Amino acid sequence: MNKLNSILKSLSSLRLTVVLLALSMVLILAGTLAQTEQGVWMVVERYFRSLYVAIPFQLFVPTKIVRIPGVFPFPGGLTLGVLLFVNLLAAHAVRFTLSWKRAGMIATHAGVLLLLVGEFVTGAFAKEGNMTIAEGESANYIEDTRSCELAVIDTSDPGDDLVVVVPARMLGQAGGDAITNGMLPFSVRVVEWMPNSRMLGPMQASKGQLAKATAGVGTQVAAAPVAVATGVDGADIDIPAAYVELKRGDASLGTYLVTPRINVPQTVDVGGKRYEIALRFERGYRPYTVKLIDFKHDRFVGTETARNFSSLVRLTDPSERVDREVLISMNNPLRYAGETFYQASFAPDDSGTVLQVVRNPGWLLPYVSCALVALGLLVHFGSRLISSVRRKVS
Amino acid sequence: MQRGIEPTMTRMTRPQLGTLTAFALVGVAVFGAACDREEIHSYRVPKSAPAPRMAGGGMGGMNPELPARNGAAGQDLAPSSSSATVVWDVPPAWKTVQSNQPMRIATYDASGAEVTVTAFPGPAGGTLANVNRWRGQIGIGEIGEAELASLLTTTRVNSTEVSTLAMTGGQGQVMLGAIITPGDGKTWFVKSTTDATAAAALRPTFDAFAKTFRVEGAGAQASAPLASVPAQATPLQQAPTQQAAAQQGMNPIEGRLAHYAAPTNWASEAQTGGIVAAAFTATNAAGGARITATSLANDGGGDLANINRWRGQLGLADVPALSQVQFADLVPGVKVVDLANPAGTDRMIAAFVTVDRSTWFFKLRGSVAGVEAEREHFAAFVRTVAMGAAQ
Repeated sequence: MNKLNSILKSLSSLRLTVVLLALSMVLILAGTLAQTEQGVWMVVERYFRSLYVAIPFQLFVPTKIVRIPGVFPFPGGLTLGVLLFVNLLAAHAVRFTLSWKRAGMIATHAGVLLLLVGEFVTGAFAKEGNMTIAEGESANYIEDTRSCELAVIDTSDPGDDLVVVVPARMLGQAGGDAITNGMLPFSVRVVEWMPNSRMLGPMQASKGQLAKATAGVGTQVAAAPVAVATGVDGADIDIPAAYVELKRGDASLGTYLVTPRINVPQTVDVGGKRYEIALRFERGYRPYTVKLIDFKHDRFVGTETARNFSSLVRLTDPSERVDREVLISMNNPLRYAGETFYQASFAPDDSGTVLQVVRNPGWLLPYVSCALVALGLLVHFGSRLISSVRRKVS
Repeated sequence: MQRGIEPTMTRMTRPQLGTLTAFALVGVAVFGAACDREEIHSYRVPKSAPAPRMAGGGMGGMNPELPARNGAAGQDLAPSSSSATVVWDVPPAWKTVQSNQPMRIATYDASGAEVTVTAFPGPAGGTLANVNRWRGQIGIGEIGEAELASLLTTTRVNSTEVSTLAMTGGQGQVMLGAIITPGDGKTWFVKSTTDATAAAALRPTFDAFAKTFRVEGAGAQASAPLASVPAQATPLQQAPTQQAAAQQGMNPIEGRLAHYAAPTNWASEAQTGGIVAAAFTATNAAGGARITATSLANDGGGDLANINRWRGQLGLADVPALSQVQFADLVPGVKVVDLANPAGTDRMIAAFVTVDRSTWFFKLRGSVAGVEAEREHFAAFVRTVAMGAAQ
């Protein structure tokens, strides 16, 4: 027990708190600078939701001044957050006593702990995506534009499609190795992976570029890699592309170009069955369907300035016997099945809507934690002020 | 804060046990969060709900080059979104050929001559427009309704109406064609272009093949005779949306292309399909030009990026912002850039427009004079296909 006590005491060290806060500041600085070369979400994942991160020395010095190769390891946000959480909890177990005098401080620390828990819950469980619907059409899935997947779809069943999904991250990490799985009707070898890409039209692509694909639309258009979108690029998103060779045993079924920019189905025949393949934004299917009845983009009279966006949708969920019309506008989201549907964007020709769909079981925690911290500080400094006034009066 | 520090404790208190439990929970949660949960997985989803379709129904599932699947040797079929299925009998001597053309339902090798099968929703622009499109492909002029009647041989086999024809091209080649309405709401096209001798030998088999197209299964519906549908009678607004087009295995532009009749000096290129909805080679006295129509999902990479891409093709420097781009006034509602290389030998007119959730690109490229000669034709092409205007 003494050993445990000494461990707890070490963990509750105020020096540790200071070190962790200092490291957090360095991490935030590095994460902010990293957004000049990487996308916001990539930085969030690599710097703030990881156990450790390899930070390039070059990040802190412009290449114009000097080029510095190499990286140095650094604790990631997950590590620092957990250690801060443990440190604060241990401090309360070892040092602080429960008393009304300390109620303010305890409430403040509880708020900070809750804030850390809230970020953890958001990082681990929150899901966010877009539902894009053209007028008159329906959608029953949400697309996550931050990640892609290679979908192999068996459409032979007249009722259902059987979809086998290979996460894009696996494609990116495969190198030259074939990806095989019992669920896949063929193996997938990634010939070339492009985390972000641009398309080359039939007049632009060289013969060599067109020769990369031996089947599908890649014989007519090509893809070329471009730098990934960075945090300073605004709302740009990465559109990956890949040349994948599909093989059944030793027999090649062709090398296909796949990218979310391709908007026609590409098919592969294997063993008398037809499969569609597509690299698409990661989809999450839902048991409910949202049909866009009408999208309105009101403008101030005589101007192109937007006054209001709204989507009149019909929400149907047979499993819950739900069938109703809902008007979603900019400050009036729809909340259903634990998800919130915000009016986020629209098709350039106003022919459709883009709803941002967010599921975050921890969405309330930051509010509660901020309220706790504010209340705690109010109580803490308020009681100090009252004591001070009393002393002066007496 | 320091006043709260207590001397060394000798045994665990209840709060400390709670703290240790919290640590354990945090450890488990962190371990779980740190683990990479991404892996290959599968699920079943109901087929998408039917989307708005053109008059007469949609393409249904595509069926390129499938071998016989319904048990009858030498018989192919094309599954439809309805319960009706179009089947046909393949002559024993013909070989199924694998084709990369997404628009093709089937391709056969008929003793050296390529026979292709395609299908489009509804009347697909009408017989006259399609025959004139074919005539353009073999370099002969357009005809009118009166000449069309004498060119076609129309027969009815049960509920299927079959019109066959043979046309001799500008270079002596012969195109055999068949336009078939089996009653599934689509118009089916069978075509083969070969030399005159081979065409003469192929024609009896070809015509017999065209007459084997039929609907099997429930849901068959009678279709209006093609001759009664004028080329521009179908409102272009009925072109399928992107979602509908994708479900039909179509490029989103295809629906509107069906209503477009190209000028006589534009020859349709065979290598189209998928993203490339159409490609034409224009011949004129000024050196000719090439025309393409393509479609990409969403913003197609962005206006500025595309314009700079095209500028790069012509050896021009990038422009930093869209505000510095000088747009040409060619078709109202369509963004158009007119670019030429520094030497003044290569010119490109590129038009792009957002339709549904995709971006359609139309390009006219060739010598400066060659492009100028086709400028008005190109404008009409963009107006018809991109904006859905009547020709």
